[in-house]
Amino acid sequence: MALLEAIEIVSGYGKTDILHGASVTVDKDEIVTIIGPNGAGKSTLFKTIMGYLIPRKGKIIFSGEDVTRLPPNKKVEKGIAYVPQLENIFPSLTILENLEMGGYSKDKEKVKRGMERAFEAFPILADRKTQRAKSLSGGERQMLAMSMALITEPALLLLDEPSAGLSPKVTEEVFRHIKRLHEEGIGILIIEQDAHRSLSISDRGYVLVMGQNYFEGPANTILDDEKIREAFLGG
Amino acid sequence: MEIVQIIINSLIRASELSLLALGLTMVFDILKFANFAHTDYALLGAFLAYSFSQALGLPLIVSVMIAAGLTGLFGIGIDKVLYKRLRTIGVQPVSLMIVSMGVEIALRNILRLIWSSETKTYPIAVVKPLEILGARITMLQLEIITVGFLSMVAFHILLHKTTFGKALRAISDNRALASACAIDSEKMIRWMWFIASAYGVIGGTMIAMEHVLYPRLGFNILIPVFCAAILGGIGNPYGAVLGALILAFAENVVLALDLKWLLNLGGLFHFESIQINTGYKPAVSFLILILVLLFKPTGLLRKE
Repeated sequence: MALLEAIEIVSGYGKTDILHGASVTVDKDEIVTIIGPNGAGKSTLFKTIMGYLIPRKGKIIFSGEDVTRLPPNKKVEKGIAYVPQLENIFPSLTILENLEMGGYSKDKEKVKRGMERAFEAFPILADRKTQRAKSLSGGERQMLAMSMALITEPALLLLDEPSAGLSPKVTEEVFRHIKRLHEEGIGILIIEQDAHRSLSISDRGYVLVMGQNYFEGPANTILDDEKIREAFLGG
Repeated sequence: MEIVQIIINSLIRASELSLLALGLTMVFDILKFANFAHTDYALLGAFLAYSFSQALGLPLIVSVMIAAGLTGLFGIGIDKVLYKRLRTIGVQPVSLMIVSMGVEIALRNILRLIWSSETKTYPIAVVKPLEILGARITMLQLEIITVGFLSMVAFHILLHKTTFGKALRAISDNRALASACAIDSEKMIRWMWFIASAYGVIGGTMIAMEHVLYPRLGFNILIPVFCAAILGGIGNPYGAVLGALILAFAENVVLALDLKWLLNLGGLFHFESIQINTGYKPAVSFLILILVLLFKPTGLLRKE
């Protein structure tokens, strides 16, 4: 059974539709990457899956349950976690408080375990845990944002451009972490600019164009496809 | 006036103003609009406290606490019937501010309808003031300063040591991300209204206890409360307290100034002693407000 099914989603802002029937499926132990040009509706799809936007048409099924109209906080409680591309931490809260907020809906024990895991994965966060998050660098912010999302022990993780603005070295570290999460059995859905990097660790991929599925298939067929490579992966 | 007396008077005024400015700044921080009815909520509570102590014969402190709780619920109620509806259909904060002006007018007149325009005084025994370093302070004033200080400490603990306070700060930082953390922002907003309104009641009742209680008092203290919040940097609770302190000292210093050195023009005239009439006290907040808006519109402690 698929972990997440977003079926023929029509969604957008106000009266303007951005998505015109896009569909995405993620299985329980899959990494799936969505690529596509700017304005294709990738971020809109994430916001709709999370419940920030309610789709005009289509359905969102999570673990066999219809969650189409649930608000974001309920979706998180169901087991979906989301790391936005920008503004994905609380700058005026300390790192410890940020992590605590990540686990807001969970009991103290779980939060404590989550924090230990986060500090183990990213020791830099442990060193600076009482500092305000605004003092963190771009890479550290991304690490903190992912750690916050993971404290809820989600079944599915949505990552919006996790490598945006990061140095190659930090990007490498972030993707290593994503792979580790996958090995722990978390389903992962990624939107990526750095499509090569992301597709190379993915099982499947989607190409989204103008709010519709343009192509879907195993990640390596996307990487190998002459036409897609030219159009979306920069040759 | 003695320096010590100025300090004491300023601390009293600052305690009252900061309790009121805190709620105003909090609502602005979370909902991005200035609630013009804020001081009238406080007055509603002050009247309720008056009635509880008069009609039911409850001790004053108990009356104030019950009134603060009820007014907190009133704040939630108004949000539910007005602001929340407008929020959910995406109305701009500036429209919410105008709605709050309507609430202010309505509430002020409802207070007058129920309690009449007659001034009222709380049943507080008049006792001989204490003397501290040559300055006088009544027991009530001492209590005002104590309650003000303790309320500030409680608010600080609430914001930094409780999950509720941290979640409130998280919502203030980034509402969308807060919902991705499973924080129910509507629930938080309800509690925020409760606290803002209840704190206002404590501040408003203090002012009414020190002077007299009448329906227009809320409107009359609106400017100083706005001034304190804006001077400190609206949206920042610590700024609200700082703004209240500065404004309180400014008011008391201006009123205590002896202007004879200025008017005598270096010995040309021989005025005995000239002080600014206390009726001009509200002008101090207007003046500070104008200066802040001209030179530092973000206030002293702008929230990052």
